[in-house]
Amino acid sequence: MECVFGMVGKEFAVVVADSSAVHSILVHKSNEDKIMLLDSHKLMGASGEPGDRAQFTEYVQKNVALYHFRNGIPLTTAAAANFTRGELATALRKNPYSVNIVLAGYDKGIGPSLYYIDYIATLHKVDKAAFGYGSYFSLAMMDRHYHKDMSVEEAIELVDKCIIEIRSRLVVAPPNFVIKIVDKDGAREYAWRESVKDAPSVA
Amino acid sequence: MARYDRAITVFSPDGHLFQVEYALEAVRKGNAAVGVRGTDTIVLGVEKKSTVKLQDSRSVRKIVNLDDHIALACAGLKADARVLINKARIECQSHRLTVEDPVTVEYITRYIAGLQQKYTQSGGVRPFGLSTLIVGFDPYTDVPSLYQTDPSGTFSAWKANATGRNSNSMREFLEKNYKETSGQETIKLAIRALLEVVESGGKNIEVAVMTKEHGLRQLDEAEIDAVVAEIEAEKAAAEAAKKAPARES
Repeated sequence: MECVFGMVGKEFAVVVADSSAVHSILVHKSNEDKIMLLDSHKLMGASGEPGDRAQFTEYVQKNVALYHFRNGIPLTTAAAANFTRGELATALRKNPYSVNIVLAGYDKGIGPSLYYIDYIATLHKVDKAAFGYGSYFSLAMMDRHYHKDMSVEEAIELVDKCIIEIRSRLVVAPPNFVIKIVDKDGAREYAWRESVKDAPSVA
Repeated sequence: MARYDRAITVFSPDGHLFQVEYALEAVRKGNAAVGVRGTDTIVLGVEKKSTVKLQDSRSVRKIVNLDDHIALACAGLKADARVLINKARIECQSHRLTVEDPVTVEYITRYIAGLQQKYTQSGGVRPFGLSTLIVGFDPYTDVPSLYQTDPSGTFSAWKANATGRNSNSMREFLEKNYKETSGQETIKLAIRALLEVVESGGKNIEVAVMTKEHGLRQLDEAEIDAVVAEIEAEKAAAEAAKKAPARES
């Protein structure tokens, strides 16, 4: 029941992901970070097969870094999205990755952008995106309340509304979420929304 | 001896690999390059030929980043350098991907030297015509390192070294004047060594400084000119001091 969603605001983009790592009926951990920093100004939130998720996002991250060293300038968000889609497409009919991705980035001169990339290499540039069962609720919530050029406060309010819907309406709702934001100052963690914390270790 | 330098795989009767030695000649004709290791700073300096007026100098970077914490300068065939640098950059990222750790300076030097050696023992290929100076700070331990590789594939660590044109004079200078330095003193020492063999002036040398906090930073012409001016002033003061006592006696 992994949830990843994101939206574009005024001069920033935000990506939210649940943080539970689940195997069958067991929750391994509930503070797993599923949003990877591709570089200083890009976020890649991913959901799907845990092994593929980690492996594929790290692979994209290292290739983005390699491009930066080879060419002296970083990839644009659009280029990174197209590279990611290309890798998924190449692997699709041989050895497919089961990963759904929401890619957010900020480019000087272009502003914030968000890309929806699903596991069969669909690529869409969008204002709001969501994956998983949680998408039924978060997409509906965003369709109702989203408008262009929201401020950070408005966007986080909307994110919290989505999280509340997921928590209350999804049968096996993930307890904790991580919110990351990217703007002209870079990509960084914004907040956690935790309803279940790890038990404090015995001294 | 002329019959033994066509195919690299052939030894000469007296145990020489002529192609490797010829490659070292190519290095000796390349531009001068110097590297100096300080306690918290490592400096790379390279000679720049200033005769090309119409060329956009930003497109000819002679000191390059291999990773956030590793830099490389070289002397010799620049086209061969591009190939080695590209392979090294891929290896830096590949290492990060497989073991989730950045490379150590020794690891990437060993990798580059290994590549250079491979091309001395394969059919139909010639050795890479360049020697490299590789600098960086090891992750976690923050130890600064300077390594040198050459076309034969040997490598070793150095406190300071020079390669390319007139490298012997530069190395002699460094042997006489090396001492443990940090920060600006390291930069001065590297530039002083380069000035032994290069026409003085900011437009004739390219200098880059690597520190733990800021990674690789290329010095701009103005900064280099300032250090050169300092060095010349010190030299003039030393000359004057030498002359003064002689006059008194």
